[in-house]
Amino acid sequence: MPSRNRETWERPPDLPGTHFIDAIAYTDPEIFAAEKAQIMERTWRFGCHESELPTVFDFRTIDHAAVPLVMIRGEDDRIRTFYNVCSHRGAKLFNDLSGNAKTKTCFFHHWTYDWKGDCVSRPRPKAFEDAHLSAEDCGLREVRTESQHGLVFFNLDDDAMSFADYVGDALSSFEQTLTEEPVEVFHYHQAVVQANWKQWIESNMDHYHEWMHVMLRRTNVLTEETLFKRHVELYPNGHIMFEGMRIDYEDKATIVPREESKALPGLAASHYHSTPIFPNTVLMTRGTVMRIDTTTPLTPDTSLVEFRGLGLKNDSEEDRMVRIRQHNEFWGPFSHNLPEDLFAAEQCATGYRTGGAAYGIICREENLSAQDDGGMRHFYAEWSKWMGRLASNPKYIAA
Amino acid sequence: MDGPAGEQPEIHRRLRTQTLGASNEDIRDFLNKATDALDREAWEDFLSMCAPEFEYRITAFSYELNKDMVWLVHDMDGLKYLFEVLPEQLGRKGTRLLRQVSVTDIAPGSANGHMDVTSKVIVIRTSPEGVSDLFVAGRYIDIIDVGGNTLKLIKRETRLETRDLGPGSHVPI
Repeated sequence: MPSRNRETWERPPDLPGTHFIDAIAYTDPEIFAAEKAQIMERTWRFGCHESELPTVFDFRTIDHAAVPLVMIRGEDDRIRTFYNVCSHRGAKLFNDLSGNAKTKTCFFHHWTYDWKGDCVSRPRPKAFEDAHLSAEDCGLREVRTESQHGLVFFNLDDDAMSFADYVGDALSSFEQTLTEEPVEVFHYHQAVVQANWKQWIESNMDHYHEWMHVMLRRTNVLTEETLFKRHVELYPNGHIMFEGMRIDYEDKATIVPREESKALPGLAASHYHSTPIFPNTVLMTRGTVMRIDTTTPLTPDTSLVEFRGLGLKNDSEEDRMVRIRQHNEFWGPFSHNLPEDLFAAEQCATGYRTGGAAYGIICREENLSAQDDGGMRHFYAEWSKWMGRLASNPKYIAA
Repeated sequence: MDGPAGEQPEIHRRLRTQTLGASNEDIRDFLNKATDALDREAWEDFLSMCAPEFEYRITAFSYELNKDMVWLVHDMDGLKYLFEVLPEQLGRKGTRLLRQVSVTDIAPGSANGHMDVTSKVIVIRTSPEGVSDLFVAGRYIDIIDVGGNTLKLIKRETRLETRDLGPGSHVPI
């Protein structure tokens, strides 16, 4: 295989347009702005797990969804999402990351809102009434919010299809795990990553990279069975399920043992599978623990990734600590795997950002077995649907 | 701990420590040497300063969840395994961490011969190109055995204020 000169390096690969990505899909500011407007503001995105709002009037703020948002569990037990801004002069209402509030009073002019987003108090209201601005016209902007299996999603588009229609059966492989016993989030951390948001999503869809991880090499992940018998299931609307495999944790005594009795409902302790929900959420499990990633574009070159770890709510203190150790071994900020994945995403971003890399190749076809690139092609097919262009030629917008 | 630094006159604290066989200066010197071993990535040197029952953990408080979190727990065997795997872990080779430790409290611990020591710690990360930035800020909450011939770390909790670590770290703080 000879090296290439500039002409052959920059020439598009001799592949179908669905099987490669032009570098500018990761770097171009116009494409980035279009992604935010046409994908992020119109599709269903993960907000939080219900356990993060366990009691009535609990709230949780979300600062990176294009607009500041706040999710509140109401007196009727329903979780609602609002723009986290006062309808009077635009001040941010909730500044704490989480808390409990039956009503919220804006610090600026003391307008007060209840858990339904209604404006229930305006100091010295007569001047507003004289101007024909009634309290009914001063409520918060509510954002569509729907849940499935305890996972709470929001959509900034009032006209979007329902979440149930959008997600279809894509979460079915997690249904038993998430609903048979109460689960809760025990781990949260976020990281600003120097990479385009799609590059982090790709790392969770590209199983061809598994050789990169020392702990996957040490836990015998890459066998004939795991390479060729795992299946990639493609769902409508860009969702994917990477079928399970068994991980051999037995080889190394110092890896936290995985007892079958601690497996989450519906799973074996050694089980692994994952489900990316288009556009920016990935659920995965390692038998005894679950992880949810949410990726938010900040700039073409930077992304905010939120990482959650989930276990059983009714764990004993001792069982919870075992679960935490199992989570942290592969997925925490000091784990074996997560820093490697983030390093890889940032290194790829460097290649594209500098103009060094011209194209990304996603052409592997292996009957949708584990290392087939079909998952990534499915993601980009959905991306193309929303963007009206192919990722391989993203400056050409279809009529 | 008996309380924040300053509640007990320094002379009394020093005397109580000295009766256990180590002065506050000894303890500061010991912590500086342990920190230096970590900075030099001299893992064997660091482990030699730890008791066999040593427990290391990294913790943080989540304002998002309103909960304490544990981000890493290892006993001696776990740390040895972590250090064994380190050369194979993928990451930016040549990145250095420099830990700046400032002891804020030394007080007798709950067990005989143990001292509870709290320190502020900031960690500066320097890239192979020589660019430095602040990586984390937090505290070391240590238990040190001062009853033997040499001081030994019994337990270290690295309590982080910083919770966005970018890609994270394979190296303990």
